[in-house]
Amino acid sequence: MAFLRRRRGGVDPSAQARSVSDLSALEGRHIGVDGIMTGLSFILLFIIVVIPIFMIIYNAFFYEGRFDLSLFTSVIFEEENLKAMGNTIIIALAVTVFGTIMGLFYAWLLGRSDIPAKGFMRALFTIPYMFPPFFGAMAWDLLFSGRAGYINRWLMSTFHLRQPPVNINSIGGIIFVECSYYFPFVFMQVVSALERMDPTLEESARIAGARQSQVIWKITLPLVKPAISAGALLILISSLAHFGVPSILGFSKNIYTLPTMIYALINRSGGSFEGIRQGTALSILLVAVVAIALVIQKYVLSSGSYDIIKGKSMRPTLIKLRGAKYPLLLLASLTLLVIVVVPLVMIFLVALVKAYGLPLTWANFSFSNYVKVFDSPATMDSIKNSLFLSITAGIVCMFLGVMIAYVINRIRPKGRGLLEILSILPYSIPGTVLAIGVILSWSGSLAGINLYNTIWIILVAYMARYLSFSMKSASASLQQVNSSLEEASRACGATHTESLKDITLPLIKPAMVSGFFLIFLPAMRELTTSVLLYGPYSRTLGVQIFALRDAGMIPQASALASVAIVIIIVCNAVVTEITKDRKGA
Amino acid sequence: MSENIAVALRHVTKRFTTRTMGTITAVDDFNLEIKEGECFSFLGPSGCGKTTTLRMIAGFEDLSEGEIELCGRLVSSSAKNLYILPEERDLGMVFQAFAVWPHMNIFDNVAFPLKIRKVARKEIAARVKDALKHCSLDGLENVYPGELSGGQQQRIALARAIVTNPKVMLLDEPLSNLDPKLRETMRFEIKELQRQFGFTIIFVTHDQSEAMALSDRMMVCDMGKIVQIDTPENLYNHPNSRFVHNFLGESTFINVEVKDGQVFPEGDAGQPIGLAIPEGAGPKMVVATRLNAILLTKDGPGFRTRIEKRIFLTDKTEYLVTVGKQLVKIQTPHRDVFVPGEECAVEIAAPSWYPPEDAAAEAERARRNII
Amino acid sequence: MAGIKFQNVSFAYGEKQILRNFSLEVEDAQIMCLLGPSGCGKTTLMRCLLGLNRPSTGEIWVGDRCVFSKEKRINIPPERRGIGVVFQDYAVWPHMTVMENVCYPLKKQRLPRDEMEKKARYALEQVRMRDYAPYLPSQLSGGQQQRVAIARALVSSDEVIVMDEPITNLDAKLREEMLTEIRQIQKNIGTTILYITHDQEASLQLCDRMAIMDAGGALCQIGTDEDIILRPAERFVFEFIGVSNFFTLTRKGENWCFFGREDMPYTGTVPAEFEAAGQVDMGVRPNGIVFDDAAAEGGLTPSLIRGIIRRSVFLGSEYNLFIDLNGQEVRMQRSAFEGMGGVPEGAEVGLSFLGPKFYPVREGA
Repeated sequence: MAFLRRRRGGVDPSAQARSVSDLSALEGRHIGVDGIMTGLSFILLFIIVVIPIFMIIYNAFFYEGRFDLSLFTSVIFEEENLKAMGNTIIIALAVTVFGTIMGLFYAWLLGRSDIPAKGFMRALFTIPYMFPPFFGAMAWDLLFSGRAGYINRWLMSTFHLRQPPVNINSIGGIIFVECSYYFPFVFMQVVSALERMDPTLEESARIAGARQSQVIWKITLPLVKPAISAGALLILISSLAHFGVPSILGFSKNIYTLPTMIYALINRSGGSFEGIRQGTALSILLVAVVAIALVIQKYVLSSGSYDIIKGKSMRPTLIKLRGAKYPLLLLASLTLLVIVVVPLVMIFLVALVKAYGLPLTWANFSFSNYVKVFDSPATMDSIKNSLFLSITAGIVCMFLGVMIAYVINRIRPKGRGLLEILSILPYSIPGTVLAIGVILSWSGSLAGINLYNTIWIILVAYMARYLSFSMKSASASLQQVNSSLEEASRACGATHTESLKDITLPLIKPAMVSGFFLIFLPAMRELTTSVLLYGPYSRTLGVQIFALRDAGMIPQASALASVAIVIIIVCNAVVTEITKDRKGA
Repeated sequence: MSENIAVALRHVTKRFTTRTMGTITAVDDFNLEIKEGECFSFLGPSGCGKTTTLRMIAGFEDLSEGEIELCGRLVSSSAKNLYILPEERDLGMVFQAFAVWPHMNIFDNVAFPLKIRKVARKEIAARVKDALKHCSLDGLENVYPGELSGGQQQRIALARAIVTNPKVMLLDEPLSNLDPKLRETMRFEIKELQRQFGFTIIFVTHDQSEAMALSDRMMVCDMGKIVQIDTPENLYNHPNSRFVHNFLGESTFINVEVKDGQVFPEGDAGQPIGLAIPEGAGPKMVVATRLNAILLTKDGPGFRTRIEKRIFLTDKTEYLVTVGKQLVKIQTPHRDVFVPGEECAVEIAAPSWYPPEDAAAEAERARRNII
Repeated sequence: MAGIKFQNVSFAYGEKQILRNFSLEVEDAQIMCLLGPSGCGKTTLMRCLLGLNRPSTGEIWVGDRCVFSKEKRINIPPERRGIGVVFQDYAVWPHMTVMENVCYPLKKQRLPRDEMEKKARYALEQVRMRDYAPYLPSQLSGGQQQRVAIARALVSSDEVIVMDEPITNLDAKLREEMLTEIRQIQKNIGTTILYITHDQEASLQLCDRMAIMDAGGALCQIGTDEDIILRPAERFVFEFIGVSNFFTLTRKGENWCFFGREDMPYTGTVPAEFEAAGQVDMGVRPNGIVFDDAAAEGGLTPSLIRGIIRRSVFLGSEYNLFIDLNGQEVRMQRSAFEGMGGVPEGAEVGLSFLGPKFYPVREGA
């Protein structure tokens, strides 16, 4: 029937017209709120993102205004640096492989088997997200570093060994610790894909005659492949840029990766321009490696994403583990406990020990380290600095993120694509590189602004690094807020500004709050950029822990770390409480 | 069509225990025999147990009681704790959400059941080709399902189901995700496939017109119980209960009072409705009739009244007339035009009689719908 | 009270011209349904009226107030047009209670508090949502949210309300209820309602008058439901409003013939105006085709228009028959009540046609 054909045919142009409101065009004659916000977004992103990137590239390839490759080539072919690059790649690849395998195993166990205590195990998976990997590195170092580690010593005395049985200060050790912090990336991706997957995709394979095991290999695994690769690439990129673990475990044995090498170069030169220039050249190398990983990511993610969302809500048939159920449960929860909980406990124990190396017995425990920590002005300053930086960066980025998200999603000016790229880009730039860019830009070479050694330079770096978090959160929320909500308020007699204030802002408030915490929490424990940017009066919490440890004051470092752990746990509890309230409303 | 039994359910019962609502008997003592080559529908509102029954036949759910036989083979039995795995039941099944594997092209999707059965490569190619031809998918072998429309995806699912030549085909609301026009076409296609391959169809749906158009026989169930099993015509013309009458087709229900051998609309003893009183009628009854089985005339025989409201539908006109204090809906073709306010006569040509509404049944339905 | 007037309104989205010199008048205190296939530009028209899209030509009037005019350079912003609107997706603000939602337009009108409450309560009463005033939208069903949206539209304007597919997201039963309610509310308050939809049944049920747009954005017919159903002005209207069969009749000598075959003459009357063209398209509804067989029904002469029943589908109240008539598939609907049982597939039947409509032959149809 002809009319039906007509009704079905083609895209609805009015629907397209709908999404793009003419409102801005209608009011475009005078520069309104929209114009101001658009302009501001571009200017701010230019300052915090474009300038540092430009400065890195310029300083790597130009010397005193002339194009000059000599520095670049000399740095790259330095044997030490080549080795660091090799280490970086080996570590990243190994972490990716092992982390993926581990993540997959747990995802399958929790997503498709009838293993008990799923809720408990899930709770454990959030822990690696909360704490910085360098805490783990510290703890494992306490247990297994050469002849000093507690477990190594115990093993050596019990079994009369000449050599320490495990050496955590090795490439293998670095891989192990990074692995234990990064495998949840794959786990989370895959478990959520398994949950969203339409169970009839698997059931229809059973009907087609496939056994349970065949279904796993031929249907389930291929369908979650995109989730696996997304998680694996996230691990790869994070590990490539990772600073904390290799610095803590590697420095004592002269094992360097690119990020730690950059730090070492700058540190050795005492912050001189020459050191920074060498670091710049190395960062280009690091960026190149990460860029390759990003290209792979883009390619992999675009090639094979399937629509596997479920239609009817039905729970998937769980695989009965039968006899293997309790052994697997034991294995899974023990591994998790060891990986996740032991390091945290270790930090608390060592924090109580009077001096590093003393056996962990009641007699040796005291609170003296905590007293020292709270007595030391430098340490208290670091806590204050971190709080100031995290809260300021959180608030500023929260508002900037909303503004940029609004400009991109609602005002949709020309060049919004560029705006989006600029705000997300710094997230993919390794923190070390970003720090160098910020140093190059704001230590006097541009318009005489010199923020070096002040807290402000760290703030600028944090803003660049974390802006994408709040931007993405606000953007996702804005996309949920249908434009008809704002249009309805216009028709109800509210002006454009009033609609923004009364409708749009209140609706994305939850996203703003979570955007704040998305920034506040990682900023509290940040190390990678701060360690390159801090000055005598602008140490952060992470830097202070790192420095105390570096100076051999291991129990004090542990005490401060345990304080940080408590702060993080409290903040997380607050976030959970807030988000719970919101859902109830 | 032979008279062999393809599917038999004996005392099949399924109970679920939920935390909030206690134990629910989702399927209560189903006894059913479906003949070979038959197209049999399970029809009922949501929560009536139709999907659970289908999943028990497929082998995805255990039975609380009873047993199921497929083509003479015992496949599920709660007493013997015997459950043949779904993959060993030799069934074809098509799901509402298509369940076409997005990572395989169409050829691989359809070839999958054969590959699992280790059929020779040459034979696979031939049989897949044949199946695709029957589902009008020829030439699309190398296309991935993501590039195809819903209707085409459901055809892939059909081709995949018929390629192993199963004796029994389970269809779980296969047309619900398609647009109305396509639904009608696919209905014919399924019927045509059945004619060629001779399989038995069990078809689950909540859409009564779909069930009536497709089935040889159908089962109407409600709240976990079988209400009536019969051919579509018999179910429609001779429903055994008010529920079936209401569920199949559009009806109008008139509350009446029986007094002195005459039938009056409830609460209005002015004019009798000229209806013969059936045996065993109580003083209060409900008369049900189809909307097109009420004759509306200017001055013919029947209850005199006037047109209250006229609504044009796309293919017929709907009139509301008062009978006593109740509004009664009547549908006629567009050709017979009345104006609101006009005097007319209505004659109920084919009435069905039911006792008045049962409040307890309504409450139970509400309880089950919450779950 | 006020009507709505569109005069020569054009609108293009990028390269694509959606409306071309569109004119339409909605009378005061009426429900006008604007009915058209999706993509015909009806939503664009609404957005032009609201001030959310800006037409490239023409004028728009609400009552005696011009809200847009290209020539007079008038473009009143949406918030000052005084039009209530109900969107398809409700657009009820989720962070405000029902009461706050309904009060918002009144707040913008700077009404005193007590008067505001009174008006809002009255509106909520109209949509039977008074008891839900302190609820948040997330605690309401889709139908209830849509009621809140209607109440909000009622308070923001008691003159003109525009509704864009307001019931599409509701289930069938609720849809019918809402239509009855909208009708009732309009009767109570006397608002002018422009109701935009692609749903023929809904607009037939609701409208005082309806305007039908074709896929190209042109206005085909304006009239009452009776006009549209009984006297469709164009072939498009006839096809759009329901299921249809079309036959091309050819003039052979004194007779009109099916498929150009003189042995299949059409025995009814074709309006004389088509004689000159020698060809005419005849449209018949499926329930306008009936069996006409002397042998079976004792008529005078058996019909010469004979086809073979290919498929017979029982649908409860009726049978859908698919008849092969000289190679063309004809859809016939036969009441199961009158039909007294199905007709065997493969049988040959004679047909005649009731209530046919005639339109000029369309190229490529």
